Amino acid sequence: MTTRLIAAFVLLLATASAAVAQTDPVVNYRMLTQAESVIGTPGEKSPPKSDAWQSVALPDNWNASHPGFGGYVWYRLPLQDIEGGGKLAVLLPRLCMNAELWVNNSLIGDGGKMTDPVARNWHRPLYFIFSRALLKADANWLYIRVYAYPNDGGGLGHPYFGKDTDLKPLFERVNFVDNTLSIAALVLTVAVTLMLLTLWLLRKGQSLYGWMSASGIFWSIVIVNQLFEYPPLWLTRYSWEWLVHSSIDLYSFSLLMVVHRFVDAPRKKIEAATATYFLTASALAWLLAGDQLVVWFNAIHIGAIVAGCYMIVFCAWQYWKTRQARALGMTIAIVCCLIIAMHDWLAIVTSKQLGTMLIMQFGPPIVLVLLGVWMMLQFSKVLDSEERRRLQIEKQIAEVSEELNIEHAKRMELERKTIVLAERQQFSRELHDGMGGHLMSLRNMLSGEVHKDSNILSALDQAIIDMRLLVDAVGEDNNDIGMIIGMVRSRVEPQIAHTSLRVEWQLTGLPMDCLLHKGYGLHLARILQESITNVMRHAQAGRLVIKASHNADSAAVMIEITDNGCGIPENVRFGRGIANIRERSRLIGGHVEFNSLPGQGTTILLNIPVIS
Amino acid sequence: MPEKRSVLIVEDDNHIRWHFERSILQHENLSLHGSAATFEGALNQMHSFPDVLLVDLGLPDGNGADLIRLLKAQAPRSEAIVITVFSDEFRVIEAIRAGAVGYLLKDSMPEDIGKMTMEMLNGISPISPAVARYIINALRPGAETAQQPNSLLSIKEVSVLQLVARGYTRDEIAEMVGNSVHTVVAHIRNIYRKLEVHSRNEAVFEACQLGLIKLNDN
Repeated sequence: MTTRLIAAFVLLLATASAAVAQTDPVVNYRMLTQAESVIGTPGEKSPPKSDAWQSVALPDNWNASHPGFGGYVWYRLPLQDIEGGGKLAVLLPRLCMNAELWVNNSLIGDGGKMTDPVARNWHRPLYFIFSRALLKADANWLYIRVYAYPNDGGGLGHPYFGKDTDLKPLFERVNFVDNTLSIAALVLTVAVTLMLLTLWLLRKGQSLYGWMSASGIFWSIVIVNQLFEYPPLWLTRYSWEWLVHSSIDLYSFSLLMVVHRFVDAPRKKIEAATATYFLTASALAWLLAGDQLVVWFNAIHIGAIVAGCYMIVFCAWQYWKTRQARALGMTIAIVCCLIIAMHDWLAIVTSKQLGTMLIMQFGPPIVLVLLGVWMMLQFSKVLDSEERRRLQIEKQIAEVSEELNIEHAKRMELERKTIVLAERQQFSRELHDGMGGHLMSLRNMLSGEVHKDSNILSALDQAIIDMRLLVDAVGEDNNDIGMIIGMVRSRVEPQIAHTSLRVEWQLTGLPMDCLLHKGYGLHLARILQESITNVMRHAQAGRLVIKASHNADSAAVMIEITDNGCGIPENVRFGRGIANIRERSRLIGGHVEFNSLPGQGTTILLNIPVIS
Repeated sequence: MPEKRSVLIVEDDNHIRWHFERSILQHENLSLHGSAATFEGALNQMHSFPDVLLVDLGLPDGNGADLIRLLKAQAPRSEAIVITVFSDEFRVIEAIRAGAVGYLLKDSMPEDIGKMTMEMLNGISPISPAVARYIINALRPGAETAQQPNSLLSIKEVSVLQLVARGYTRDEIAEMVGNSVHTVVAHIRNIYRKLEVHSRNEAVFEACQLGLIKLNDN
């Protein structure tokens, strides 16, 4: 981003300078370097007939040739005819303050009023077109009457003479730099200043923006000075000059305030001293300078140059200390600005300004552009970080709501399970307390009676055991195989105790926590119960071994139920009890084998998968 | 000959109450302090406290567990035994927490009722596989296995409980863990005692029940 902006800025500068530096292929005009001059008097209507013409080299700067002089000076330059047809033209790229032109005795034009307030053309090229008809056959003279205030850098630079068509491009080029580019600089400065001012009004706490806009305002005044023909508003020439020169100094003071705040290092004492110096000097100049106003300010401006040097050193030092890119940028911008300002200042104090271009107006906009770019970067950074924060917050919200959803689903599932479990327990308790109580009471009633060995009592016992198994298996959703076997044992053992059958329970090969899949507990209990009941009823066995072992490789449990009874007769192999056992073992994902030989007992091999 | 222990029977089913009365009267070391069919009736007979309270928990006008608490608070040397239909775990656990030393099944043989009562008075508390399983599940804080028993019961006590839950008798357990039957009985008695202590300290048991809920969640 920064790189692209810098590249665009450099490209713009290069284009502008290339346009200015472009030279004409055909140079059919002359730069006039020699003239004769004579002091004029107010009210003259035509070039004077005088013997006092003195030879003078151009540019003629009054600060050097007529120190302290203010008023009119006549210049005359010999014109040599230019071959070919078409109109002729004179270009005055530099003069101060205003001029009238004659060819021979004919007035060909002026740059505005020649009496107070005199038109201010010190920064504006003048271009005059005239007809060849004005030229005489023999000697021809170009007269230029120049007016300037005392000590105001009055004088005349090199005039150019040639065919209009040849000279016009040169005029346009000079005009582009002095007027068009200056207007551009003014527009830029005013725009940035307004932006900064608005920003400051919105955020008064940010004095940086306030000082930035102040520097912009002061510099706008300086540029306006170069563009306006007459002092603006109701201001006299004196107060306008004073305002412009004070603005140059106050600009440098404002820039000092900006620089300190820009790198976050205010220096109160330096700021107070600078302000005191500029305000005092400016006030004194207003009161005391009189005709010497510009001379005073040429001296006072040394303070601005010193301030500029200080700022450069300060920024460079800050950069050295903190490595902030903006300190470096500010150093470079102020260096450019100061070099440009020094150029103009030196040209003026050494009376060279009529021979060179004045470019001071382009310096401060560089600083302003830097500040503008920096602020845009800050702005986009803030937007970026806002964007990032927003995205992050959105992401967090999404995560949290996802978590909440999961949590909610879990809760619902848990609640569902809890309800199911509670219902089961409720159901089995009701069954137990109600039905169980009745059965038990009934059994107690019967046991005192004559039916001791009757079928009723044993059927009742069977009903009670069945119900116990059901309650045990369903009520707790028990799925630990060891515990299911234990439960069956505890329920069938009282029955077995009345018989001669000896039962061995061998569970040592079955590790703790061998779990059946949920809901299969009752099936296993019923398989075991059915198998044991079959042995008790039909096998006439003396011994029954129930052995469980775990096979970790196949994640299965093997249960062997072996008796030494009479074996299963062929005709009951497919009876209801055995079919039930087969069906239940299929339901729990296992399989069952019946090995039986008549007279040699029976082995039931049950293989059931467990949770691995 | 030692003094006979007086027994108060509280049971709302007449046949069963009579069955128990007969059984107590048969035993040489037990005497009948009284019998009641209701909570109210039991209170009326507790102006002097019996040595043993045989009580059904599901009384028509109250909870037998409250009677046990009352007895243990007023006469700590007296013991309470629960009469239950089967060795029905939730009722039994509730009774243990109230301070009962054991339970008798309603279909017990008359001679067994007297014998087991005496055993319980001598510190041999019964425990069925279902009760053991219930305690294991209730005290299991999460998905932990027997290798990480909870802090309430010792590793030995947990392994005894696991064997009980598999249907082994006290004698078989003693043989399997290489201890005397006496030690196994002491473990079971300890489990009873710890549950009762913790029932007074409700918070812990509540926490364990929360653990049970978590277990179901997994």
